[in-house]
Amino acid sequence: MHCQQIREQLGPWIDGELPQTQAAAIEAHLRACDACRREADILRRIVRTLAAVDRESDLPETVRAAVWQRIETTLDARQPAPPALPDRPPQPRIWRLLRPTLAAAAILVAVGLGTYSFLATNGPAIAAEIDLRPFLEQSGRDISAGLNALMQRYGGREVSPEALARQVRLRVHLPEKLPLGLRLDSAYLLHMGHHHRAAALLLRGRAGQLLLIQCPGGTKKELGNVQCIACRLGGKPGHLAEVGPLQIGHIESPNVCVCIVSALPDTDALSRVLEKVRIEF
Amino acid sequence: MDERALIAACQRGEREAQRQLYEQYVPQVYALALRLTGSEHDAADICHDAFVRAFAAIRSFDGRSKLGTWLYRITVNEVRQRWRRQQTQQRHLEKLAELRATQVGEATEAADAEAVQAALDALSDDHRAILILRYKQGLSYHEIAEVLELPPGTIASRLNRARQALRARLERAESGLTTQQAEES
Repeated sequence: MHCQQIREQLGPWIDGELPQTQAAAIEAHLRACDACRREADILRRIVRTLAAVDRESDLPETVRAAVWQRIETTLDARQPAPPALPDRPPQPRIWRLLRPTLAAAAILVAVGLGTYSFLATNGPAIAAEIDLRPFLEQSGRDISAGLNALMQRYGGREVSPEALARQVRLRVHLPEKLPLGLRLDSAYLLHMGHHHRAAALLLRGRAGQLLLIQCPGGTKKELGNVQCIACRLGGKPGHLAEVGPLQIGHIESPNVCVCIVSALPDTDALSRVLEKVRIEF
Repeated sequence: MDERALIAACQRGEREAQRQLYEQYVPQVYALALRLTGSEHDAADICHDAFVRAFAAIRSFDGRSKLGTWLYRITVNEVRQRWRRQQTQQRHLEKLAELRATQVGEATEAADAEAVQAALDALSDDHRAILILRYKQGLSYHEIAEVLELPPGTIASRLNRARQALRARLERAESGLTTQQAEES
């Protein structure tokens, strides 16, 4: 066989998919041909690394149980002749979720720090829940003071924007130019439970500061036909509250929970910034 | 309950059997979904959709393929549907992976692993799927053909193309690094 024919067979040979006679012919050729042997070595190395490298793929017990519960719910609800599974709704821009709440001033709830005393006080943070109490206890108008407390709570560490961009499962997108001259000041990775990573982005500008905490995956609950991620900040999409000088917002969508802590001057300023932020899934 | 009895019970719609089948196969289905999507959240969703679809279709399961292979086929189809729905996201993921690929470090084993994972993430859906089925899930060519619903004779050539694409990505990343190192020195 010519080298080209041999090389076309190297993959199946390495995979053990060739009949013995063909495999023997390949091996005889490789003993005599340095170039093909080198080619085989490269291929073998790629395949070996490919087989060895892996994302952690163990199924967490909580996820196993939660998925079965959803399956049972779906099976219970099915008709004898079930329709095809529905498509997920289109992914919204962050602003679309928040707009109705912001537009309706009556829904804007003013609460004090004491209101947060209903939050659970014991136990480790669980997946996809963001407990902002440590943050609120430390921050006044200065978000970064509370941020340190939050990072301690969730084992957060500061990362470069480049490192953040390399997080395949976290899709954080900020346009280069944001209203009010806001720019990314610092980025952090946090741990939410065993398998969930969140990103925290602190934006600073002449008008103030804004903290976005984006948490993918995790514990979910049903909210109408949208699956939402539990968050201790609020149970409703687009929830927005005023806590002292801060505005704290919470947005849930099918794949992500975004908590917003704003020290911007007003709701309009926050709205203008959030309109530019795009969450992709 | 042996597998044949389990399948028969599932075909009668017995919930306990469905649960047993789920418990038996969900680790593999989840692992495949996670490897294909890279997202724990998507993998959990795909598990849900795949098992619901499997239980709806299990009356048509005729036992000609292994149950695990049949479930893999359903899982891959669910993932493909999701890919089609999320083409924008996928393009973005590929861009991210390309970024990672250009930032691969020294040629240590760890860096090799990182580079290979990054290159794998950056491949087309079809190339990534066939490589994962072969080298992560350990399926034979015949089983891959069943899962992907392709003629068995095409698997070797498709795998060749996928491996070549992976290698080209790795070489591109490596040459990018070399250029960068040369500029820095």
